[in-house]
Amino acid sequence: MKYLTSIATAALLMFAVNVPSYAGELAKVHEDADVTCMDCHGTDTPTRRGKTSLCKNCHGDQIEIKEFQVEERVVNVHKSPHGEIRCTACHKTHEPSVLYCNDCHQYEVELP
Amino acid sequence: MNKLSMAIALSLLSASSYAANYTKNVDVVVIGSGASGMAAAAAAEEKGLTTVLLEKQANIGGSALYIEGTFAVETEQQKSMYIGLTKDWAYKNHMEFNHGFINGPLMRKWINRSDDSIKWMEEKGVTFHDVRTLFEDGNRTWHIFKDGKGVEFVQKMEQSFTKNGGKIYTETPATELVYKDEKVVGVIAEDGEGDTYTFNAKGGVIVATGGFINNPKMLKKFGIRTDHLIVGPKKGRDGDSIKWWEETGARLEGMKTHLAIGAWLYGKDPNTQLSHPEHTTVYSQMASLLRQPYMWVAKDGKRFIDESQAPLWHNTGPAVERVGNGYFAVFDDNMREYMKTDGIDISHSDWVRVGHKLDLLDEGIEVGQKEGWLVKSNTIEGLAKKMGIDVATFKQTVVDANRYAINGVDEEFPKNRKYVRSMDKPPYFAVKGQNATLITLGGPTTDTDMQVLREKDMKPVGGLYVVGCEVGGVYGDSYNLTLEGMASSFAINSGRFAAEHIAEKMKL
Ligand SMILES: Cc1cc2nc3c(=O)[nH]c(=O)nc-3n(C[C@H](O)[C@H](O)[C@H](O)COP(=O)(O)OP(=O)(O)OC[C@H]3O[C@@H](n4cnc5c(N)ncnc54)[C@H](O)[C@@H]3O)c2cc1C
Repeated sequence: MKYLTSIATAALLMFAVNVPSYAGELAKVHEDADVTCMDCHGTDTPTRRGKTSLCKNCHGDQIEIKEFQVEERVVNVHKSPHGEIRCTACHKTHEPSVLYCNDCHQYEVELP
Repeated sequence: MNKLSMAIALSLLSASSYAANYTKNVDVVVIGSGASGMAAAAAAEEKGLTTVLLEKQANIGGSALYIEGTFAVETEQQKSMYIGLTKDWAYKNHMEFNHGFINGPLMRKWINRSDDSIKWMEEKGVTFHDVRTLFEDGNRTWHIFKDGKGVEFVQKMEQSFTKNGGKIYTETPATELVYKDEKVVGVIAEDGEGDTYTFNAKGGVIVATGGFINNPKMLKKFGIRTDHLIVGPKKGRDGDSIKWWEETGARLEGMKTHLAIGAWLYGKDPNTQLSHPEHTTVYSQMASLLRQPYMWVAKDGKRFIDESQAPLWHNTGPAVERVGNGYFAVFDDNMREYMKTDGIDISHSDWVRVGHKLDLLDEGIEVGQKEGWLVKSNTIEGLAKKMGIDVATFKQTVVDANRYAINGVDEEFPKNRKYVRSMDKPPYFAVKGQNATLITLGGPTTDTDMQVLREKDMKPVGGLYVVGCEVGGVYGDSYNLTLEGMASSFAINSGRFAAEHIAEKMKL
């Protein structure tokens, strides 16, 4: 039942904003690279968030990024010491990305 | 990229099958990856129980990431420092502090195991670098974690858990218990990517969801103020378990009890005021002013407490609440200079330590005026006006304080004379502070194995355990700060107790 309502809402929203149009840059990058809905969402028509395991199909297990120093610590936001964070916790794709770390920390990091 | 048409969208209405639904058989499900959940999960896997750990947030750790140090008595660390506090002392202290309104046998078991849990954590690689107290000549029971944070503890528990085969699901809140024939036999959960899970738990379900401090509706329902700031995680501790207690007929106790601290910059997120003692910040230094034992004034322009009670949060929190959840810490230019050159007299937890010289104070005074939680004036009248309090009453408060300073006697409250200071060198400053709440402390009554007891007959609900700060019967009406670090210690120990009981049961 929960799924049905969210799908129905999604349908309404899509109608209202006259999709397809992308809110986020990442979506555009993926579209330009011929990535389909299925590739990220597992279905031809998205009913849920992109799956981390599907991100990894193309991007591999670990994307190397620049580390930085905070006090005595070396920080690599792709190697969280607080468990495995799903890709889409930060990379929102259809809306602007946000650094989830900054719920608690104050890092200045630009992310795609 | 396919175009999304209305037709496709509508066709989805029959497409709930797109979402995968997994069923898994395990021994134990632990719900919540905070202090108690991490310990329960690590202990369960260590005992050979197939265990899954569910966490609602994107990261693991909950409030445990914020813990500075944890209680224990009769540890090797204490022995090496000649600290002679005993288990018997701690037990009697806690029973007396709470007037017996707590679960004695469980308290005894926890205190008696507290030293063993320090060793258990160390075996898993957790490090402690000091045993501290927040009080002058206080009881040194507070075993400080690396960097004064629970981060390493959470990491080491995670490593032990996953190395032994445990699986963690983040962004996967438990939504329902499977409750059949008066027994809990599983958990239903849904993850952030839309998959649903049914976990059948042969041994038991350990609820470790950390109470309901992030849920204003529930705070109201149980009589806790909702206008306090919140320290720690801003989401996650949403009281998801309350409905499970209702469903299973659990006996609840202490639902109104919570831990509040009366000293945070007014209207500002308290998480900005936490720091490492060696890396203090403008905001943590400024928050420490709210704990100094000099002059605190309520909205009526009068003092309301012996200010040297500052570290006793269970006294200052309610006192601040009583005067309307806001007060001013007032000081003059002599005190400003003193705090810069001689250092502060009372710690702001272990975030800014006693004796710390406030090198960022002048910068903070500027920031505070800009942000609106600090006022400054060359006259007492001017200060009172900026504070928005009655000028005549405040003037009298200052006149009195200056007399107390000359005589070395606080005529209003029995404050130690070394903290009785004058207010006579302009400019004068007032920092505005308010209460914040860290955690709620009520929940179901349990037996000493952490099994949830039913209201109707005080018998365990089969298969259902509760651990951590949502266990009832650990506190009477407030947190006991004289056993420093007891919240996390109880959480970690109770997590172990539940896992041990399930292991024991499953051997039968
Ligand atoms: C700023 C701060 C400083 C502190 N300092 C100390 C200290 O120095 N010493 C001390 O002893 N104590 C301290 N405490 C208290 C200590 O952190 C808590 O007592 C302890 O973490 C409680 O453990 P818990 O497992 O019950 O809850 P938490 O550690 O809060 O964990 C609960 C977890 O459950 C998750 N959850 C909730 N609902 C669900 C659901 N439906 N499904 C899955 N997961 C769910 C939450 O997201 C959270 O991660 C401090 C607390 C704060 C906030």
